[in-house]
Amino acid sequence: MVRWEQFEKEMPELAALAKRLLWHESQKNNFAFLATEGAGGRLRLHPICPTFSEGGLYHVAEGKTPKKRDLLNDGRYAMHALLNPGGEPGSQFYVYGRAVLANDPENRAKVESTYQGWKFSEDETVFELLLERVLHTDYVDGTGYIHTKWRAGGTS
Amino acid sequence: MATWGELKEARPDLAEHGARLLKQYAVAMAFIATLRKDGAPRLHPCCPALTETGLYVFIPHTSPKLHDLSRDPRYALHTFLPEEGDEEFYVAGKAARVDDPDVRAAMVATHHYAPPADEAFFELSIERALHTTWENWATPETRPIYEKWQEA
Repeated sequence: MVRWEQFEKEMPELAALAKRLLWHESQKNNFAFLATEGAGGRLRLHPICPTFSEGGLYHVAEGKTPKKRDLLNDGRYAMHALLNPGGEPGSQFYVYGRAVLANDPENRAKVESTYQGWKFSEDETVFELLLERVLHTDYVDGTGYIHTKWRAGGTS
Repeated sequence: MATWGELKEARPDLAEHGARLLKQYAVAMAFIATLRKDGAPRLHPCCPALTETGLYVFIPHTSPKLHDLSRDPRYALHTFLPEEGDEEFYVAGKAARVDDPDVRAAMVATHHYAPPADEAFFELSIERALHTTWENWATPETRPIYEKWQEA
């Protein structure tokens, strides 16, 4: 399980593409879907606005959301960029790993500064999303789906 | 666990929101989460199919999702976000493989493409449904408004 910066170091072009797929210029924000697992294997799935700060990929869990409980209890997540936001048809970016609490005041301030106009409330909690595996899928006319895979500790 | 038709009877307002958001693009699209063998979540886009009575999904025989649902039927499905407006619809429950050729044929007839014969066909039963809209989006006063249904 590694930080975003390690993935970026090993796969710089894919990391740059991932950032483009996550970014939505019209809303000046990153968007993705995040799946988490609650008690007893209860799956949850919601859109989020992840962010990048000092080599890390972060999610800020608001208030008393069930997602926050899931991440505190288990931490395993899967995140998928929305489809086709940046004019790259068929391009899909998917990552899974484990979320860890990264809520110390100094880090909170750094992560907060990456959002325009969002002041964190006390019960908003910062998690760093550590990466275990990444999958990028592209659809090429006449060829079909092309998969690029990466995993922490060795590219496949 | 309810079928889509039973959700419509119980909460026609929620089912209407769901159907509209599932069908907002030319091809019905959603994200589906399943449970991997190690219990961690897996997440991929899919093309659900909706009739008056049922919510279905075709899954290629090579997809890890097929192994997930065959081992553990729990799923969560979320519609794509609309290009305009801030509205979300989400259901979760259990998926059951449908082998009845008549049901499959009826579904294929209404689907946007003819799935290969080896694509597995699942009905998604619903344990809970959630529709969310937002007040004061993208301001410090952003507030979610939830409409929920849960199996009694």
